[in-house]
Amino acid sequence: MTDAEIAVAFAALAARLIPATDTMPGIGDVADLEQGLATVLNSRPDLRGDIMRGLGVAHRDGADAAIAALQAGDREAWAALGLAVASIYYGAPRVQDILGYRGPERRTYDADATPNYVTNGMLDIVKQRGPIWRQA
Amino acid sequence: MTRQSCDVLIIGAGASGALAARYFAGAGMSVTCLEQGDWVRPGDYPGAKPDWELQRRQRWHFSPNVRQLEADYPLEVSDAEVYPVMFNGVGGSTIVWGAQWHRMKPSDFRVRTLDGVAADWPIDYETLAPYYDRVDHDVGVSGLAGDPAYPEQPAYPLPPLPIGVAGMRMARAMNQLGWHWWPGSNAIPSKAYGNLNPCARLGTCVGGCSEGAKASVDLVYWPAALKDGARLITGARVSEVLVSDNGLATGARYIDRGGESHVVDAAIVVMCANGIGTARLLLQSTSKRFPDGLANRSGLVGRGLMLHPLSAVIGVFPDSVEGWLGPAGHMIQSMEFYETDASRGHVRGGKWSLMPTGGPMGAHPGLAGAPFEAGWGAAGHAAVAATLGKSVLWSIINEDLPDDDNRIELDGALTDSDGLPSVKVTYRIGQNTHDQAAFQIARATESMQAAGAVMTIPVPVIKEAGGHLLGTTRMGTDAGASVVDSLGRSHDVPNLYVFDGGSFVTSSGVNPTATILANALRCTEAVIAARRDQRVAA
Ligand SMILES: Cc1cc2nc3c(=O)[nH]c(=O)nc-3n(C[C@H](O)[C@H](O)[C@H](O)COP(=O)(O)OP(=O)(O)OC[C@H]3O[C@@H](n4cnc5c(N)ncnc54)[C@H](O)[C@@H]3O)c2cc1C
Ligand code: SF4
Repeated sequence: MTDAEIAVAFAALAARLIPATDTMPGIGDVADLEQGLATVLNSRPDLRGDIMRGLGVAHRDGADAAIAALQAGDREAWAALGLAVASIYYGAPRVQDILGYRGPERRTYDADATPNYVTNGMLDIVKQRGPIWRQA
Repeated sequence: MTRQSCDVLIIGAGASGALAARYFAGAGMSVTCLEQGDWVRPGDYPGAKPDWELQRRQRWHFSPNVRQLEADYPLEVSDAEVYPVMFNGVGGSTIVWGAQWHRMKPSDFRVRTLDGVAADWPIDYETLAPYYDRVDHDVGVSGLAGDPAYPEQPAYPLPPLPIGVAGMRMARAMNQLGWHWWPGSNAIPSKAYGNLNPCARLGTCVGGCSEGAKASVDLVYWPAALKDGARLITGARVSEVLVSDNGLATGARYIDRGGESHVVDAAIVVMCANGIGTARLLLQSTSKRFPDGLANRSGLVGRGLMLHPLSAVIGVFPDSVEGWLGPAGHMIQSMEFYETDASRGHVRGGKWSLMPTGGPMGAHPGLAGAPFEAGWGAAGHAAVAATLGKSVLWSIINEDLPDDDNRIELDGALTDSDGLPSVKVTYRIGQNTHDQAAFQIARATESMQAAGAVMTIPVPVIKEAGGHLLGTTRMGTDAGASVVDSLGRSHDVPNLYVFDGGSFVTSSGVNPTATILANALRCTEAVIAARRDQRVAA
């Protein structure tokens, strides 16, 4: 397959897996898929074989036929393509803004502050029931 | 080939090996540790990097069969209902552990006496308690003392981590049900501690902590051990423990990354290669005197494997519970259904840990294997919208009882990158454990509903989550029914010790590493105290 054929096959599959809905944009609306696929393969070169095999089927038979065939007969290619598509989509800033999730988040806290479950008596309820461990 | 010598040779630089190296070297003994893996630095972990979700599914996966690094050895698991998982490198599995931190309870050491199953440990809770107290301080545990699920214990060195929106919601529900809960105890510092930074709540703990916050033993014990002169050789895969004609250990042979073989001579050999690696190596170490493997006169090396089948109940709420925030670790814990209650129809029990569910890729049904129609397209969007940030899970440890048919053996066909025989795992979940899991899942589901969950998803067994590798070189007083004595010394080879999780007699219902470390400290100090009387090869 040429680079252009790979790009077309990947875009078609990606659009079927993550289309636009009333509430969410489609993958083609939020990400440069060629660039996205290159980034995925750079991060996970081990996926190349599975992804290219799956795209070969999509190039030959079209996206819908490839989805049916890969699900039934090539789970590795199916899983690798799903992972690539999802990783591109959920890494897109616009999607992250909509979902309110920008990846693992640092959250500061005051470790010395008395927790509210202590001040409001919630933990006292547990203590008041007394020990629950078995003597041995 | 090179040849070196030392007082103590430690095999494996994970939890027990790191602790042993630190205390042996601190006592002035010369220590060499052989580790088949490499160092990992906090900056290596994918943590907060954009490709974290991709990396944790391969390079930072906790299954060696997925990672397939040179340091890993493959596991044949076609006869296993739970797959062992681990990390092979400096720090061992604490590189990827969740750092949930629990002592075993008094009843855990007395299951034969109390419940008529398995065997009692040759030690009791009181014996280990002072060592638990000390390792709490070594690793920097964050938690709150006074938990009525335990005998009294001193305060933890650090205050508990925040329990978050999810923890508060669940705690209220548990109070409503009259069930036990307590803020989670974690080997994750809530404030800077020793070499560790304070936890930033990224929630990526089991892919390695990029903040350098989680107490992995490469950060906790190794710097002090090295400072005191311990020698750590990485990329060194031990192929055989060597013995003298009079049946004493003389050291070990290892293969370096270039394929060259070397020997380390030692007065004492301490196995810390975990519940799979230690048994594997003992079985590999055959000789005229020990044709069935070293320290295996009982025939029990590799048998009695316990893996703690994990269950989970995911609760989905109508609104956000900030379900991706760490620690992971756990926010709160419950031991309401830990101790045996005969009316339930099974013995023993387990602990629940409330944990985050992660980001959108963790919530996506397509990635979890749902078929196209249910997993992708509008269905995928809907599922992510319904669950992202709005879900949380109870991770449930089910105590599995030792069964000699659950075992590891050398695999005839599978080898590691050095051509050494790898491991076949046979593991079936027993009926008592099945019954226990069903009971725990039903109760955990009720608690999620009491907390207002609009949907609950039970997961009876998480197959690829056997991270607690226990029981394959169990301790006991009877040399015919155990592999090592109560101090970890082999019944057959008096200068060969096992300090890792393989020496567990039963698995208990809690995560094992506090006990592995406390016990390794007790055994290490006993060896140090008796060093002048230690029998060694000439
Ligand atoms: C995903 C995951 C999550 C976990 N979460 C928790 C938790 O929350 N709380 C808890 O208490 N426990 C948890 N655990 C378990 C915990 O990590 C282990 O109990 C602990 O690390 C075991 O210590 P160990 O000394 O027995 O062996 P390990 O830490 O596994 O170390 C063994 C070392 O030996 C090396 N080795 C093996 N064979 C050889 C050889 N032939 N030559 C040279 N080196 C060798 C290995 O490379 C490895 O580094 C978790 C484990 C996993 C995998
Ligand atoms: S939650 Fe804390 S311990 Fe876990 S990865 Fe984040 S910073 Fe590290």
